[in-house]
Amino acid sequence: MKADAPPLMQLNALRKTYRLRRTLIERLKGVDRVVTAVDGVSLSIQRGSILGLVGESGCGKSTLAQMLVGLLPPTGGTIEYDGTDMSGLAGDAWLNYRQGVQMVFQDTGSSLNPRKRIRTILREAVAARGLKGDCQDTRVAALMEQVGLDIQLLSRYPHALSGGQRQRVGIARALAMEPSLLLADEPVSSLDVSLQGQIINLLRELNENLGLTIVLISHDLAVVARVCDAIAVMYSGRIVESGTPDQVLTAPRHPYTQALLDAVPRGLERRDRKRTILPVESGPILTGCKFRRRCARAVNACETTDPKLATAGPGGHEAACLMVG
Amino acid sequence: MTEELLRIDALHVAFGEREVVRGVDLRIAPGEVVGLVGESGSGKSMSALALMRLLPTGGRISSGAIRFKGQDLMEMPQRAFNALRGSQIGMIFQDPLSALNPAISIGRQMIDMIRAHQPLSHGAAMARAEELLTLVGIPYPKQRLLAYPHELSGGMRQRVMIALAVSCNPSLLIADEPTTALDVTVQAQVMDLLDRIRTEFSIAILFISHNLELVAEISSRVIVMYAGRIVETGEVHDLFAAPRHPYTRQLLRCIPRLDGSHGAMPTIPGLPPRIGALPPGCPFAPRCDRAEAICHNETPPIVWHNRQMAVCHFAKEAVPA
Repeated sequence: MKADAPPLMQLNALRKTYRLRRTLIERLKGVDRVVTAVDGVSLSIQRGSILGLVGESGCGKSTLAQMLVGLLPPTGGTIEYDGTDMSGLAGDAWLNYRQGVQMVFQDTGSSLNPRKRIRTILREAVAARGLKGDCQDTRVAALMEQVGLDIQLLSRYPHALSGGQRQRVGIARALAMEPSLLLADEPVSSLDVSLQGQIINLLRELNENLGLTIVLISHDLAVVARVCDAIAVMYSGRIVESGTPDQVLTAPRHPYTQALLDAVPRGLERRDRKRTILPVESGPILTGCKFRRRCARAVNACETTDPKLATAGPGGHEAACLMVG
Repeated sequence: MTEELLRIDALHVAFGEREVVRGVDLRIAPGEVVGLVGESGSGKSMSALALMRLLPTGGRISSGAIRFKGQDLMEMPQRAFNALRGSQIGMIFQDPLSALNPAISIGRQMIDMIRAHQPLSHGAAMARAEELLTLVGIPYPKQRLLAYPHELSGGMRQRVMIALAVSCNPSLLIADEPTTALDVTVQAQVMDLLDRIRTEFSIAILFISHNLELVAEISSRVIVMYAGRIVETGEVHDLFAAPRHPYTRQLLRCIPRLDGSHGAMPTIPGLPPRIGALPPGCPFAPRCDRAEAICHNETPPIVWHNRQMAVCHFAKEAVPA
């Protein structure tokens, strides 16, 4: 990874808020009820790298991904893609962006049309790229080979494939657009352990062979750690720790990252060393550190001071915790 | 072994001509936690559903025997079985959202369940429901009784399921992939809760999962299934120290770990065989890294080594995973 080259994608203080429905009294009083899903995320995605985005359900990682592919407009902040701000794009430039940034979804059961054969699903994708006639079939066959699927499966419907095979179709469909950035949102969390590796390895091969930049979103650090060049840990709409897998895994600085590491199943080892269990989340936190009520190390200052991402170690390792540094 | 709580012998489950469970033997002692591991389609869930008489339409037990506390469950009339299921055997599922009724409040569902099995007044059942929600670590239990399933998070819903399952002090809990749909941090909370429930109620648990490491956290004995059959079983320590079936070894290798390793993840190549299209010989042979010619032709023998059993031509080799 070349850190000095300009990043493929640069997020600057990206925000997404949702307004909730207000009661009549709230409307009369002019009170706003707002939920912040993504709260000022700044992140560089280096060309040709694999970035792991880790966090629990509801932390905003999927909202972030949807903003990156252009499915949701950001409330604030900017997304720079290849040096240009995406918000002003229109017409061909916008189409170009949408083709360049593709997404693979978690639930292949609902992201592939159940009434279309795999061949039709992939043909539609290559047709959107402008291919016609026989060229379509050639390209579809090439895509199937690229994701390691037998072309005999083309005449099947999605339900007749296994979960792993369906996920490969999802990846093939994304590749049909010849993207430069692939967002994989929990691509393996609904798969058996024995198949997770196959999909992760496929993503890794695509990264190596095509130079495809990948953002791998997952709640499981153990999956992400293995293949990523950089890891960003999200909590409550913010990046709370980022660095290389080595930095984040061997010297985690944020208490949340430490809890995530501790949560990975460890079999027999677990019987001798009990894990620290994160307390259940109890309502929104408006001031100070968003993690403080679940944090074992929280002090008084955490209630008032909002921690910012700061250097937590050598080589660009950063964490947002008052107890760091 | 001491007195048996559950004893299943040579269970066969079939959908039409297709056998999805092909001769499963299972013993659970009171208070024991047994882990049942396998990939999707290995027959692990079907075995549990057969035991609970919850097989999907078209599925039936084609042969075998199931005894619970000495009673024959196969012969038991439906009414008697209904009374037993829910009160003596509880079950939690992978997806609590589809196991709970979306149109009825949590409290109402819990009270109905409690009163179906116990002679309690509405008020007493409500108090019990609140007590149970507290027990499974749900904050503000009184308010939560009024909530509907969609208003709770996945982890909270699974806690409600566990509260429902243990509401009548069952002696056996069947947990079918209870954490697969959950985040790792929430999974940790639920595993911790199950462990606590087990000691508090001295309840036996059949823990079903595709993740061997997770199963090992809680189980004392592990059963590994492949293509409808048990391929290896043993005490969890023996099985981890020296897995004797190549499938168990390969399964252990696949689990994502935080050991600092980088690069390609180990996988089991190929897919489990389609039911009804089993290869001759050992069904795992086409994916096995230890397979030789004999594996593709001859059915592997059952090999016992102390209290560990493996169904493999090379089960005598104890290779560390």
